[in-house]
Amino acid sequence: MKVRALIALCLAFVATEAMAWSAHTHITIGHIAEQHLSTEAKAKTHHYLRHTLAYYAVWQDDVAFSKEYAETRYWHGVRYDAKNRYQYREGRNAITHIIRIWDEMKDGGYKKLTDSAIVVNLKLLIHMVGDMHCPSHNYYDDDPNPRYKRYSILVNGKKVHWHKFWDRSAVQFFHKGWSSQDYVKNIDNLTEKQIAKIVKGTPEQWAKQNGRDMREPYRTLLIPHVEFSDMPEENKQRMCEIVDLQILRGGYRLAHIINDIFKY
Amino acid sequence: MKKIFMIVALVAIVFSAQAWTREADHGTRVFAREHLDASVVKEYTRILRLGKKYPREKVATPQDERWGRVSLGTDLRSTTTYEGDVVVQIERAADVLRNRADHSEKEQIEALRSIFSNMILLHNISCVSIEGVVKSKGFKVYTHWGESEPKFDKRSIRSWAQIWGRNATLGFYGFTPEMFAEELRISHGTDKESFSAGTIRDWAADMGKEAAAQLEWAEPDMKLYKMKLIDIEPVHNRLMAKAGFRLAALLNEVLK
Repeated sequence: MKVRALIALCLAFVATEAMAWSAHTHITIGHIAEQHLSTEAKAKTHHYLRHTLAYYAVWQDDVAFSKEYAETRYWHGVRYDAKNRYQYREGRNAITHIIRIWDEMKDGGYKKLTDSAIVVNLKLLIHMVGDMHCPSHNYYDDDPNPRYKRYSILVNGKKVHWHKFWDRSAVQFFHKGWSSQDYVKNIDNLTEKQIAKIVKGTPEQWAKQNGRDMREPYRTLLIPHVEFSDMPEENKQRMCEIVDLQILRGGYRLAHIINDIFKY
Repeated sequence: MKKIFMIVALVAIVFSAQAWTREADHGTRVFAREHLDASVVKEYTRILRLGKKYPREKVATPQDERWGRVSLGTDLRSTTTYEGDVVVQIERAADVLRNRADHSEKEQIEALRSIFSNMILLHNISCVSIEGVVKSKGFKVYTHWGESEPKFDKRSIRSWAQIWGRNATLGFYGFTPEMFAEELRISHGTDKESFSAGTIRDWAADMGKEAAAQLEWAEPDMKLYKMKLIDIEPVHNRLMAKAGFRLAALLNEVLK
C-alpha cells in the first residue's frame, strides 16, 4: 500500500512535467528566433514585451480558453487543399493572422498602434509562427480519412495520439534532456545563405512548402498502432530530421518577420 | 484506488515544494552573480567550490509550522528570534560569512547554501505568515487550466504554496538558469537600487506588503482560472528579481 502510494506520487510529478513538453518546442523556437533578431528588433521587442520571445512562446495556448481571446483558439493550425494551398476557412487558420499582423505592423505601422496592441500582436506571432511549422498542426482536406482523427501509436505499450506524438516527439525521443540553449548550440548552425533561403518568400509560400513537406510525416512515417520503439530506424531518423528542420524554420522565419517589422 | 489518490493528493499538497523549479532557483543565483562586486567574486567562488568537498547533508526539520516561514506581525514587520524563521536563518548565515575567519570551511558553505535557499523562500508569497491573517498560513484552491469543462473536483486541488512555488515557473520548460537570468535582466534591470535597498528585515516587511496584496484577492476553496495565473506572472517575475538583487546585495556586504 505504501509502495503503491509512493509510485503514484512519483508518477503525479512526472505527469505534471510531461504536460509541459509541447511548451518546450515553442520556447525553443522563440529562443532560436531571439538569437537572430537584429539589434533594433531586439531592443524594440524587449521594450514592448519586457521579456524575450521565448517567455511568451506559449501565451496563446494559455489564453485559448479565456473569453477575451476565445477566437484565437482557431488560429493554431493550417489546412491545405490537394495543391498544398492553405485554406482560409473564415480566418480560422494561423497563416491569415500571421499575414494580417505583419501587414499591420510593418513599414512603421506598429507606431500607429497602442503598446498593448503591439504586445498582443507579438505574442500571437511568436506562437503562430511556431505552430504553423508543427507537423501535427497541418491538416489535409484531400485526405478522405484524416489521420489526425483516427489513429494513435504506442509508446511503451500506451496509446499516444498522433497529434500528441508530434507535439512532444522532439523532446521526448530525439533530443532527450535538451534545453532550448542546447538546441541553439547543436542545430542552430545553418549558414547565412541557408537561412536566407528559408526566410525567402511570404507566409503563403512558407505554408505551401509546409503543406508539401508535412505530407510525409502525415502519411507515412508514423505507423498506426505500432510501438514506437519497433518502428524502422530510418523512419525515426527521418522524423528527427523533419522536427529539427521545422524548429529551425519556425525560429528563423519568426526572427525575419520581427526584424522586418522593427526596421523603422 | 480512490484512497491511494487521496493520499497522493494530500501528500502533494503538503509536500509541494516551496521552492520554484530548480532552473528558476538557480536562475535567480545566476542573476545575482552578475551583480556581485568584483572584490567579492573571488571569495564567493572560493566558498561555492567548497560544495564539492562538503556535500549537502540531509537535515531533519522540526515539526513546527513556523519552520521555513517568514513570520510577520500585524504591522508587517519581522521581529522574531525563532531559529527556524527564514529571516533569522538568513541573518545567522550572514553572520557566519561576515565572520568567516572564525568558522570552518564546512560552516561557510552551509551558510552560503542557507542564504541561497532561504532567500528564495523569503521571496515566495506562500511562505509569508502574517499575524492575524489565518489564510496566510496556507489553503487550497480549485484550479481550472482551461483545457476542458471545469470540474473543480479533488483532482483540481492546488495549494497556495504550489501556486507561488513550482506552478509559478513550471510552464517554462526548457528554460535554463541563464535564460531565467536574462528575463530578469530585461524586465527589472533598472530596479537594482530600489529593490536592494534596506536590511534583511526591511526586505521581509516588503514581502509582507507583497503577500498582503495577493492575499486580498485569494480565498480558501476559491476557483482559480488560468488567466489569473497569467495575471500574477509579473508579480512572480518581480519577486525573482528582488530575490536576485537582494542576494547580491547581501553577499556584497558579508563577503567584502
